[in-house]
Amino acid sequence: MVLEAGDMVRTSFRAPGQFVHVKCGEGLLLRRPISVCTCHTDEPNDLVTIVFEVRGEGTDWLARRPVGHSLDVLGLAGNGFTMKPEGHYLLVGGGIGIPPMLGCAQYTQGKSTAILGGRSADKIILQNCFQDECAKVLTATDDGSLGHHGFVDALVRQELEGDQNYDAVLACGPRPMLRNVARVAEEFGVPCQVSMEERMGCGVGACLVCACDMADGSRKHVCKDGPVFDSREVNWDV
Amino acid sequence: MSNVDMRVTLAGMTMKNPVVVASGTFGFGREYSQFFDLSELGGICAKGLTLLPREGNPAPRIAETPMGILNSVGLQNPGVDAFIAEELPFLRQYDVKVIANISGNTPEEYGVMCEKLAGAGVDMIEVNISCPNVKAGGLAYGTRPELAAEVTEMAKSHAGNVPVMVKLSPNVTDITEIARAVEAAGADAVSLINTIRGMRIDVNTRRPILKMNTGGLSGPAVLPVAVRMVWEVSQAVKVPVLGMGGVSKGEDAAQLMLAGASAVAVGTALFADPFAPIKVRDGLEAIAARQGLEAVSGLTGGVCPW
Repeated sequence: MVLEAGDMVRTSFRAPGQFVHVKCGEGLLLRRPISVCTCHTDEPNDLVTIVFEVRGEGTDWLARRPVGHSLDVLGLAGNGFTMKPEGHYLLVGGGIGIPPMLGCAQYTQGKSTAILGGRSADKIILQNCFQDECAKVLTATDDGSLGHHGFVDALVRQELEGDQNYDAVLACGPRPMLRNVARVAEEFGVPCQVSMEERMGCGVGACLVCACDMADGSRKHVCKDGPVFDSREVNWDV
Repeated sequence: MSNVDMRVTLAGMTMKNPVVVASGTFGFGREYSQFFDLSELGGICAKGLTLLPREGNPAPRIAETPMGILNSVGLQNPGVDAFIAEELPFLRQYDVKVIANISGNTPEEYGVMCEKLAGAGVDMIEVNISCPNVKAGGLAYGTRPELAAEVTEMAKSHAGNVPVMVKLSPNVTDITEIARAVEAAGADAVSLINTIRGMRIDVNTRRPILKMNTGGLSGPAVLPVAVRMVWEVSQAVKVPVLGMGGVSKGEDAAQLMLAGASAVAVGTALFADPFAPIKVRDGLEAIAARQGLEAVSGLTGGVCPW
């Protein structure tokens, strides 16, 4: 879905990996946080592309909006990945965590490697787009229907073994995947940033519901302190 | 806009309008100051404070329910000293009444916090005896009249000239009993309602959505409960009432005022719309103007029961 977003990108873009907080219908109180896939400044309206999965009533409503419909959207919210356009990154996306990595790929102008994972071939979305934006694209599926048969962390290991020049591993996906990717990156001494997910309220850092347990015992908040964290900051044992 | 006098007075504290933001929904104001000038508000009930910093409960801390939400944040906050040093100076840049909200594990803790906050010059102290999401203190103080009175006395005796407002729990058989007890113990005002305890279960995993299993319900779903309780309490006590619970538009606020509230707080509505408090204020003013009132305070207690 492409949003014509006024000056949203001009005024609030910080880095790839931010999210928009979308009001989904009248009967639902809470907004839905959705990762930005790609975004661009444009005239007269900036463009923000979101790719989301229909998981419940809210996202179902959103998916049914006709072209030209107006939405109530807060954003761009949160902090994205700390990265440089000239950097060399290993981008790892799992399932519905794949779309935000495309924005990272675009940001680095074709120099990154992408590893895309999912349960089966049909869960590997946007593969063609990644091929246009990356030096290399690898895939892994749990059932072996596409690419490596198994989890993405095996491919992360293979890449980090073969190429010592990665500046960082950047990952978005389910928590167990993030934990495994973070472990491999740590083993190779490569910095790793992860985009975390949690049930969210206000989306701006005031209500404190989207708590993420940190390694130092504190609890930070996904909407304001994240959604992207250094993997070493996160307490993976909870 | 209109000629309606929007000023209201709550326990001697005059606000430019009756709209306050509810504790726990507005942080310490920094986040929402990106959306509107905080001086537009009548008052700000700051995030609930404890004597020492708290990290709160594990996530998930929120679940959506029909026209409401359940939360179990568990009083995550930086502690009263950090509030005074870092947050109060920020809030003081604005022309808005600052109401500090406190929770203690013991009556003595309430006393210590009141002393610190009164010394720091907050405009009012809201004593939370009704948080459903913490083990010690919290709700236990709010459901037993003698304990509620003890905490109130302790707060009053350490708050100097700063008015003390006690936040009441709806999780009781008779809220007027607690209201009378805290009034007798010296409370200058009462605020109500805090959240109603609730639970939501994922039928596939058979797990409660909230990690703490239960949480506090807020949002439009609780508005009629709030209106009823404000109505009961305002007849039972003489001290003014700050009404809250499910307010998302001017009409909701007007209902609470007609039921007896002198001012109203907006909370959960902020999560759907960051501008909700401003819209509530404007909606309230429009209603007062339409009804030909000179002052919005004319709504307070104006219900005509059958």
